[in-house]
Amino acid sequence: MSKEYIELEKKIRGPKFNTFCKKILSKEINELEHKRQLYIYLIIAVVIALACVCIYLLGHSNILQEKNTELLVYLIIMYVAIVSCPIMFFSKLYKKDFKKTIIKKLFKFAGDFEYIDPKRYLEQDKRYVASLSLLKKFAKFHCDDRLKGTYKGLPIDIMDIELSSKVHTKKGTKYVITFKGVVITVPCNKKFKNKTIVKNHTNMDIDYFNNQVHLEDPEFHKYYCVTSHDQIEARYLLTTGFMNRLVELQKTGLIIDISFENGNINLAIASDAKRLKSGIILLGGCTNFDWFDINFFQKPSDFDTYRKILLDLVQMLSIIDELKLDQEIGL
Amino acid sequence: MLPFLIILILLPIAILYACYMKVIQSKNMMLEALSGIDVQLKKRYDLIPNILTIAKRFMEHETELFDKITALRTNAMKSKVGSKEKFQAEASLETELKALMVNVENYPTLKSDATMVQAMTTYNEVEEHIAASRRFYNSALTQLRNSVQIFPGTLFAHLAGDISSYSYFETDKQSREKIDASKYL
Repeated sequence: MSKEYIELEKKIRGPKFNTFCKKILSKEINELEHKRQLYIYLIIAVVIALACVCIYLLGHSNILQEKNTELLVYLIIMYVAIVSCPIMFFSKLYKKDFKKTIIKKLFKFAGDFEYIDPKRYLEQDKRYVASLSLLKKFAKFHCDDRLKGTYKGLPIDIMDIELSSKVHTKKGTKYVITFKGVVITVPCNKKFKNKTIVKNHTNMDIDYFNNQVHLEDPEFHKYYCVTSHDQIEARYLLTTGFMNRLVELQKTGLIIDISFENGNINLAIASDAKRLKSGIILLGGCTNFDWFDINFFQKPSDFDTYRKILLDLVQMLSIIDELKLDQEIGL
Repeated sequence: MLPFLIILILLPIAILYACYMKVIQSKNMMLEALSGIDVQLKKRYDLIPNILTIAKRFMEHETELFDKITALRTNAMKSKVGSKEKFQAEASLETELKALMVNVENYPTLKSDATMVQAMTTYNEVEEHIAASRRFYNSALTQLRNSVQIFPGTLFAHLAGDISSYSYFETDKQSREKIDASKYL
């Protein structure tokens, strides 16, 4: 791990972060807490109101007299389902409030990072992701988070996205999520013209017959499959050193797909992929399923919530360190 | 009975045809890989005179090295593509170019000259491409050898031509030796 990475991780885990939260974010945290309290009261009000309506209706029906337990169970399940709607609604609203206020200042603590409103570059991002051969074609594009910054002089673009494609079934058409996770884009330290895709074997949408590149490392091929229109360029980009680093990354449990396209290196990490184990960084129980998101049931004054978000970012930066994407070493 | 007989006849024909196809494809890939190396080597040959011209302005006393490199370049360009002689000529040229690059370190003004920096960056890129094209060639040659040496590919080995004349790219003895950094310091 690089010196910058170690220092950044120490900074986030250390007392400086708590001081930062108390001094810089205190106003926004208090406002968020007030909103959270309001949403909780509204949820309670809705739950109680719905309960009263249900009790009134039950009282004026024959269900209890007839001891129709099956129907009663269905009604309870329906009640729970209906009650979860306001919880989900207010939870989303809370996350939006968090992203409008705290998150922008939060990433400044990690360095030269800027949190951007995903709607600002929505069309541009959609076109960029559509141009990538790394990801499947999609019909729906949703960007949850957008982050831009510099790490060790390397410009980084991070998008937390969800892609869905249309599927025609006998019952009609529906949308199926084909990718949910993070796409990290960094400029490539080597010049190339064609596309080279490195896909993990667990991502089963590999076209095994089209322009496959067989490299010398059998261990690498246990985990990854490479396709490219230019066999020489693929080997120029995937040196033996780079392949070793990818294998080491795979052994930590991280499932990652990489593409060399448009002059950039694009890394796709699915949200349901295993996270880095303590061999690379000590996560301290990082359990965010959604990257850069906050839990509605956790108090905003709990600084560990924000710490975990920054540690998510640090996890991504560790990949850049592991793969040495910031270095021009020719390896 | 008849469909079974048809399958019994067609299946071996299909297998033999698949083997034949594999041998031809492997041979063509190997030839493509060889020409790929040649394309990259051409870039190096074109780059060498530029590097020598820039270096001569500053390294007036290294005429012996420059003449050696020029002669090796000419020799390498004349050798047959894919032959052992070609690889040996390239290996010798590479060794002398490395020696030139090491000597450049002794001339700070040359080392910091913008055109020389650009030339060295381009040279490094070309070398990386040459390494990649050699890897592709070795991989393609392995595939070809596997396809003609494993039965029933052996039946079509003659279609691949004389593959013994094509050798793997191997580094020379000197490059395999341990490097003593004190030689350069």
